[in-house]
Amino acid sequence: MENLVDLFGVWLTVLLTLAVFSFLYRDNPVYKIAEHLYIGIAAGYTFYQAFRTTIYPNLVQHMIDGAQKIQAGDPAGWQMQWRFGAFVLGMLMLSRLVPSWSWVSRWPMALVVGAFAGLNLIGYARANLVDQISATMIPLAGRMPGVNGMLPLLPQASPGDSSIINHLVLVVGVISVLTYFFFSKQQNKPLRRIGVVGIWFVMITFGATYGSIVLARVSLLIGRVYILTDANQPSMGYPFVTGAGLIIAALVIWRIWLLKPDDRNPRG
Amino acid sequence: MRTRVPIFITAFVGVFMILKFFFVTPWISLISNELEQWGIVTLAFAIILGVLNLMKINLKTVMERKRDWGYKLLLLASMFFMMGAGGLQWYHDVMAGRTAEACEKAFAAASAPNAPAAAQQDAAALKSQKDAARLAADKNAFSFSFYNIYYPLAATIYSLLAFYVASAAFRAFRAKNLHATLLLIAAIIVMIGRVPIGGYIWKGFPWLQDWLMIWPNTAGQRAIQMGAAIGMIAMGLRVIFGIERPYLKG
Repeated sequence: MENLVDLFGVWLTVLLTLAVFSFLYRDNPVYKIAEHLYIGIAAGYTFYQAFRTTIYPNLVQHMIDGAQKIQAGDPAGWQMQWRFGAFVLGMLMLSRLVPSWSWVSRWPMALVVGAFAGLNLIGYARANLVDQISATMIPLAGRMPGVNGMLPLLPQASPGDSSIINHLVLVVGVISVLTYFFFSKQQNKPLRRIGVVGIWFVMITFGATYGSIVLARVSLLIGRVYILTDANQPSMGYPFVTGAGLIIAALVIWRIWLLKPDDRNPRG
Repeated sequence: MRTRVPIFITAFVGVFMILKFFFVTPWISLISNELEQWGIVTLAFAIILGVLNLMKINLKTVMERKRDWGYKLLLLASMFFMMGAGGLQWYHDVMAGRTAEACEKAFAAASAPNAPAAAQQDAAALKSQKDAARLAADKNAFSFSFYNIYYPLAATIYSLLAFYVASAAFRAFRAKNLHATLLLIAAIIVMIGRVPIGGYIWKGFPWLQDWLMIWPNTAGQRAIQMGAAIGMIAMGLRVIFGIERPYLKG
């Protein structure tokens, strides 16, 4: 029985993977089934996670613990009952489902926006501003802590090692890109020239990021192809080949007999 | 009530979140931590609201037999199935936890000096119950749906982007001017340097790729991060002082 469930799982994985890949041909019923199944499962999973990881421990369990403390005569339990306010706000959030009362949902939204604006304000200032400025304050020549002797001029065998050129690239890059994005004052000739260097760095950054994204997606694709080929065993009934055949047959039937003439050329 | 109360709530909560970092006093920490928890719970309710809204819209389509209602029915069925399976998973986890706890106590009692033979038998019986409960918690409809439906669909949908990113690359990577050429060269170095064939073509490619990512790329990313942080701080202050009111829309 357990083996049968595992086998069913492998077939389901392969069929759903192929169903999503069928979108490469065009939007079709097989893809739509996979798409709606994904949204449904993801919504159910998110609902479960919201309850189990947040609402239950942070609200229900917290208040039950508080009530138990009150029963035991501990006054700290009363303080824990403040959390009831979160429940009230949560219920007010659901008022959005009733159009005539939807304005009440502004109150909980205002709390969320205020809380995260305040938290992010400090968090961003610390992590993305102060820490980044501090990491850019590096020596451009001479001795450096952690480097044996003087800072070398050229990059070393290990690309991450410090050198004068590397540090110059970092410092000049940061200053020039910041200058390029400085719009508060009309840029004169020297500032514009620095900004030109800045845009070179921006282009290199975007190119490197784009290259990384392409490789990450291709690596995911290779992973999916491995799943399909690894599962294609005789003991499992060749799910990849059989599944591909079934999906292609379904697409052919749909294209020839079921697709309405108006939908054949969606691009006009 | 409709505009002033939300503005007051945002300002009050936002100020307390900032005060928390600058004044380490018990009452400020207490209030701000409680407000933070309220925000977290309210956000979880926002997820519930999203799911209920999805339910409402799709149920309407199914009831009125509108176009594609069959797909919406599948969406609703799979959503309810996953919620039910999640509830079952939770129950199994709780039972597994309780059995494990009881088993530990029984083993402690059985390993005590002069423990009766019955205690050892109880411990052995509880161990088999514990294994059965753990198996039920590890292998059930929830984990099956997660590993055989949710994960393959999510990974494949993201991997589909490889084709679209590659086709976009053909349009973006054209050496029309110096800026586009820099973008093209950086992307090619990163892509070639990270795959084994890059090292076979020229041994310097992996080194160049690493260097490009560590130094010039860091410089660009760092400056962009700093700019974004300044923007975030300005926007945060505008929201807290009620100049920007995104929550009043809709």
